[in-house]
Amino acid sequence: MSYTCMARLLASAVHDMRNILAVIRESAGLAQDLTSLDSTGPVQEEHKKELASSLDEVRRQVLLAAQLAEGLEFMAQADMVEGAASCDLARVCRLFCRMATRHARATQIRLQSSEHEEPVWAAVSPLDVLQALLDILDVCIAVGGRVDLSFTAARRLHDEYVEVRVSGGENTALALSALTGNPLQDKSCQCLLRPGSEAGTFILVWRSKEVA
Amino acid sequence: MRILLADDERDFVETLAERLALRGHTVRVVLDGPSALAALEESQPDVLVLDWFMPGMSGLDVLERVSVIYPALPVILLTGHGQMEDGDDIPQAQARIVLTKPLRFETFLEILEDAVHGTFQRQGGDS
Repeated sequence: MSYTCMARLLASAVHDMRNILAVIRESAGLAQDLTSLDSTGPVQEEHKKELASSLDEVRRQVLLAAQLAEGLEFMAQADMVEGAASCDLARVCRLFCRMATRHARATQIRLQSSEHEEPVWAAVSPLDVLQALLDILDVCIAVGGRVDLSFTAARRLHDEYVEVRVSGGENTALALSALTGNPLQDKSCQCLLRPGSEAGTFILVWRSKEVA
Repeated sequence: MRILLADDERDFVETLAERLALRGHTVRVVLDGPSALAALEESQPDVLVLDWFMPGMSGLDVLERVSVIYPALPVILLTGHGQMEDGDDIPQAQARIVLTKPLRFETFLEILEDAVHGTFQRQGGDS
């Protein structure tokens, strides 16, 4: 994984964190505003609902921040995991999507990963996985326009891989075309992106673990 | 004060709008650049608050258009990117201040007042 890749993911995460803090600050401020209002009757009830909604928002944003913190912690330990020979693909996909959300959104790409899937351990460095996912995102960004991109870790028999699905968005066809022909060949090392059995999907696999 | 807020962060901008409305301001919220330009065509606010990084048409893209069409309209740029707070590459005639999120609400209110009363003197970020 290159330092550039790491820096881009960190920049995206920090940008996201600032937005989360902004929402928390304004939601907390609104809660404070509402509690200081002298209201009665239906207006008071309405303010109570808004207060509850503000506090819910704070709670929701804190959860998002916790996910980002998990990703940042993962990056902070990069020197320890760089030489790691295996990783949970599901977790890496999830962390990547969380950290790169802001970067992707700025270019109208919506990232998704399966949130509740089982761990999928694979014999590949987690940083190599992050690099490959970012490279795939870059290919879609280069196409431009709206694209929905999802990453799902999976296992078939004894082979682990990431299913890349391009769906929705006005530029789906262009993105699919750009991802065809293993565009990662000159980018991410040791991995291969090839069309999946289902339309709109690709299989990201590392050379030592090709899916049959 | 009539304020137009343009930011794709719905949670943030709607809460900010509510706080401003509680203080008696008339606030309109839009979530992207083209909607901001359309809103300006319908009715001009006293001040425009623009998020820098909106998908598609960015805040800077909107600002370039606004600088030509509404040169007298004060504009405040918001950003979640700390590096942008010095205001480089911004048409200085209008956006004389860039605020970094999260905002300090009281300071934000002061800056809005300054903008509307033509006393925009502060440079750089404040958060």
